Amino acid sequence: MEPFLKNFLEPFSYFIYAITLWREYRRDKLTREKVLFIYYFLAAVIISYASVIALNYANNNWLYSIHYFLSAVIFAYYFVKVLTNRLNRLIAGSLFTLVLLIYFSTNIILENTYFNSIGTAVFFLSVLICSFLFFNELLNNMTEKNILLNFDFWLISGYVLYFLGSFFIILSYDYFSNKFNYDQQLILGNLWSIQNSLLFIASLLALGSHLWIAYQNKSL
Amino acid sequence: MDSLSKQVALIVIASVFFVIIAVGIIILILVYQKRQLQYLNEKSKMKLNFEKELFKTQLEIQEQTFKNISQEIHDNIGQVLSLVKLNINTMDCDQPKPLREKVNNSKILITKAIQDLRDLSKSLNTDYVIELGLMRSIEYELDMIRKTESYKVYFNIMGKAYRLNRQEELIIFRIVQEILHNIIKHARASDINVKAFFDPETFILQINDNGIGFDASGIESNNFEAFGLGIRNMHNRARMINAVFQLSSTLQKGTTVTLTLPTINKE
Repeated sequence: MEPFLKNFLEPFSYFIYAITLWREYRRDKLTREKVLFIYYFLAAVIISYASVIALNYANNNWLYSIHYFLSAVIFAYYFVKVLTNRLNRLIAGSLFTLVLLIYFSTNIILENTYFNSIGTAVFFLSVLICSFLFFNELLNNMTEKNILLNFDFWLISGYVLYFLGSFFIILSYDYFSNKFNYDQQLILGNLWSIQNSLLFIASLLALGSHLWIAYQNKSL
Repeated sequence: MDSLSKQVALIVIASVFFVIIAVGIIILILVYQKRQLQYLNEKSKMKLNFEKELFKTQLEIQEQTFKNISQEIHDNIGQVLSLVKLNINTMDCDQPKPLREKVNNSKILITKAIQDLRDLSKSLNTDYVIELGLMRSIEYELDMIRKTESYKVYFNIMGKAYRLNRQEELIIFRIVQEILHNIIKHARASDINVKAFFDPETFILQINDNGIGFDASGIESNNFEAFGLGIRNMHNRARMINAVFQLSSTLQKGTTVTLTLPTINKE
């Protein structure tokens, strides 16, 4: 169970996200959902490969770097599309530009081969800020339409759950990996399991909300 | 190892704490949305009720107007035309002097009938309250009562008159119609006194009669439920436009109705 939680729950969750987004795109025909579907499908493939490599104790950080870069670009696109306020869009664009700048400076210019803990934490923080901006817009522009039938609300709620819950795990990774030896660091795998479990819950939330919305729309 | 375990445990606790916060935020948003939805539903329900009541008010005004017109045609124009007919029937071409008198008399009577018909045609327009304005509409209504010669009718406007909004004028006019109808039907009064006060921040309309009055102790304690549908309707309609409806009555001395509407100066 532990190797699955540590290594394969993450790509499995991305796979659930991919299925959800594919179904959602088939229903709504929104480009942002199509883009997210492609992203989650690619993420599932990349992280699956990274997990297989990890079983052979090989360095898979380069795959996580690709995933990090891809995530920053796609989340920037998604939030710019989903936010309606011009200032909020500007904030979202600026935050993810900063994330990409950190990526380029550490992974390309400094040729860092370690997991970019701080950069990822900044990315997590950016997603959280954009999620709260989305919630703020949602509450300010409240209509008679039920929020429970808004897929973006559930998707972003899942993001808040995952990115807020695992923020300290990501942030502390750099500290732990510098302070403790390799054997001691193995215990950190438990933290990854927690993080993967949160991602799994978030993906189930997205899938569950998609199915529930489809059921509600059908019964209307 | 102990130190690492402690630190990992700390991170786990922090993560759990933040997950709880995330769940809390999501629940808060859902609760807020539910309340907001309730508020929006109530608001739209209230708006719908207001529009319904306004429509009903318009219909009632129309109904009352038709009653007035029917009475006016029967009592006034009908009488005048009957007199003209009588004049024509009794005309004798062999007697030129009385004939000229009768023709002249008929001319005057027909001119009066034409003028009365013109006045009536104005009130046939369903939007005449909006077109004429509240004060002229009340004046027109009082004129109709005056013509019956059963009442002494007084109408005073104090302050610089301004227009209220469409809904307010319609509802106030309908309340006035109802009050005047009640005076005619029940009060056995000889004097009707209407006063309109145009204050920059308040509009006050007071109607009083010197009729037989009634026991209004329930109304004075704001218990409108104990009274008829007419009084309850007036009170509810006044509330709809944020006006205060007050009624006081003394047996054998008369009744006074005061309508107070907070407003801004609409000069």
